[in-house]
Amino acid sequence: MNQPIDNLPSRWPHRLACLLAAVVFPLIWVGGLVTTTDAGMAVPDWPGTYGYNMFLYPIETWLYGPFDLFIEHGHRLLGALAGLIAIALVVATYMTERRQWIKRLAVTLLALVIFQGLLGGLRVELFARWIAQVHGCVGPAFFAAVIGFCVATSRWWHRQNETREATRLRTGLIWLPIFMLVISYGQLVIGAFLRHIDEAAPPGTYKWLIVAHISVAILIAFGTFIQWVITRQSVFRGVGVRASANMLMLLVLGQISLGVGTWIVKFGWPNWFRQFNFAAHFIVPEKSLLQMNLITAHVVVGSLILAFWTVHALRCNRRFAIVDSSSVGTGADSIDPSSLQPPSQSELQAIAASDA
Amino acid sequence: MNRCSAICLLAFAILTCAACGPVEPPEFQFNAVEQLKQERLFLDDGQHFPDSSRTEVTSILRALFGTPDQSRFPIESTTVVDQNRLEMAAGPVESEIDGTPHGLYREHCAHCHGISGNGAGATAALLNPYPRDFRMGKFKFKSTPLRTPPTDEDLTRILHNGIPGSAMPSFRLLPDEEIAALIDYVKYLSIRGQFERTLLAEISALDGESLFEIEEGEPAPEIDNMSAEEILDAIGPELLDDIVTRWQNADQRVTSVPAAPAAFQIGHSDHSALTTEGRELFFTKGNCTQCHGATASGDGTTVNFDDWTNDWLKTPGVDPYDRDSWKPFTAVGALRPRPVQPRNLNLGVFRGGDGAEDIYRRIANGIEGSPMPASAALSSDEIWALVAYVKSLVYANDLFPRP
Repeated sequence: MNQPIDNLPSRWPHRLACLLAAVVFPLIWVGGLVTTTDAGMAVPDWPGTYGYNMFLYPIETWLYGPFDLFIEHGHRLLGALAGLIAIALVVATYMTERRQWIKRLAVTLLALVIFQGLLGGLRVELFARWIAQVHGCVGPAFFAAVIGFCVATSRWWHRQNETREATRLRTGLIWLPIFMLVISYGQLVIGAFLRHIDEAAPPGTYKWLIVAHISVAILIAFGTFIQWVITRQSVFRGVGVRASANMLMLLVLGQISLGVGTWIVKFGWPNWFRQFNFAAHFIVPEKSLLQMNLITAHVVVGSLILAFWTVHALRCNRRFAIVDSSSVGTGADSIDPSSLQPPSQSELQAIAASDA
Repeated sequence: MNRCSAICLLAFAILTCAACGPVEPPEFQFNAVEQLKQERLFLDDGQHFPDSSRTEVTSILRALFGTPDQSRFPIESTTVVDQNRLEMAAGPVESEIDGTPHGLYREHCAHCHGISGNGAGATAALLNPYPRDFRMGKFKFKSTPLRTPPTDEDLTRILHNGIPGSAMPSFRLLPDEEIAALIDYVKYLSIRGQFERTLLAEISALDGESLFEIEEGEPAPEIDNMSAEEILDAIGPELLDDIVTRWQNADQRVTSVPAAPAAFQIGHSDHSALTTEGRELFFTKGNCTQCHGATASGDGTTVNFDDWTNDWLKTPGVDPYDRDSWKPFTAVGALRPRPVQPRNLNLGVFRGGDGAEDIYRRIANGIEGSPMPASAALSSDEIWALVAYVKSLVYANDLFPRP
């Protein structure tokens, strides 16, 4: 149905952005492990590693040394790799992309990755927990921005020049995804504060953060369900928003399970379960593989949910956010999948010029 | 480039703040709950000890015990706390190039037990039971009698095995030297906390006056410039010695467990009779049903609080069911009072260990800090009979079918 598009802008920014996303995702996983295993201060200097240039640190000592050193140095190397790819992305974007906002986004990504690296270094140099909290908040934001770049440089995005439609479901398809994107990020911010809570914090602070985290989780689950139900309508088949909604539903269900699991492997079963044999026998396994990976998975899936809401919100807005009344059709029902045709060369040039 | 400019500005602002604002190292929290309790006990309503008494106690403790980042034990000649282990457990979380860790206490314990060991760490309010407050020197699961500190072996077992059904984890994956370091740090916090309580009690006895003998017209001593020996000589070395000696002698106070009777072995012809005897004791002489209930499921009629709560809850004028009466204590660091939940013995889970000797000691010695009393009235044979019954409860429906 969709024809190959040979005359679209270069694919290199998109490919590099996908490569960057493929590096940032494990980077977030390893970053989560750094916190879970308390490996953040395994290397006391920065930007070097025990006096070595980061890239020249002996590989044997890194791979066969203490586990916390392996994790922390690996995190730094992956971060550096992400930085290098971000530089290549800026160069490729400036060479091939005509849309100014995409160029600005590429520079923003580079600025963000540098900023994130500086935060990581300052956290080590200053022993500052609050910097770790900010570091934990910027990571997912960077990942989401990279994913956004991938979407905005994809073929699907360019195809929408022809097929954009207005919808009667503006609240459900335009504003709900944006709202969910914002609260998903807010949830990650709360999570970062929970993860990096100061040992000297009063008990009330953690308690209210947990209450907020659970409340927002319920809100996210509800919002995701609503979005999933909306995109189940047959008119949304093949327009590029149903897959992301399905994925979000799966991820949110998985994330709630991981959240419950995280609490159990960290603090045991809640007191309500005390009369059950399995809960009474359960012993929290400190620093076990189960504990470390379950907690880290909860962190990583949180970032994935943010990334998928970014995809979904961008796609929904790209596809349906037409405000010009003359182009408003009969709503979502009016979408005809057969109309998904690639734009012509002249149309593309006109769009690029208008974007510029 | 407005967005880039904004990000650069934000980054610059954060970096500037970070560079200009050095991170303050944490301090041990003053035991304001104990001070408030002493004020309620010894002063008229609304009266307070002078601020100088708080400053003096804080200065003495810092001079003797150091800070969370630079902890030290004031008596070098004792074997109770090893300075090298203390340094491994104290301070912020970091490690050396060979993997030697530092800051073990903050890595594994402080989030629940608090930097000061006050049991009111960041996560404490959500946990049930509350994390242990080390500052009274009381530990529940140990081999020594009531009012005696635990042995290193007792603490090692708890750290190694964890406490089932609670948030206390098992640290069995940690190397032995790290567990030993954590135990020394727990003892350090415990002794420091007990000493702090002693100093506050002394100040109360002196009506808020200084612990140092100061002649009229003389300036107050500069505690920060005094050595540990000078401070202890001035305020009375026995105040700390008594506490340390009790910890040092804990090994000698271990309750010996007599050999179990032959009938204790499952399969012995008299085992059922022993279990039945234990059941009778459970309902009569042992008075176990008062808390554990007739079905041993922890549904007795008594409502009790543990010693860590009763310590301030029994202050005159404080009612556990009147929020306004105890709020001043929670405002200065106490956790809101929660009644103790007696153990459901039918589950077959015993937090202090499920071995026969463990349960024997729980019955013989009681559980320190909890309403579980020591059984002075029971003979060793009777205790063994109770142990047999308690261990059989997991099969209760088979042994004692309900009509």
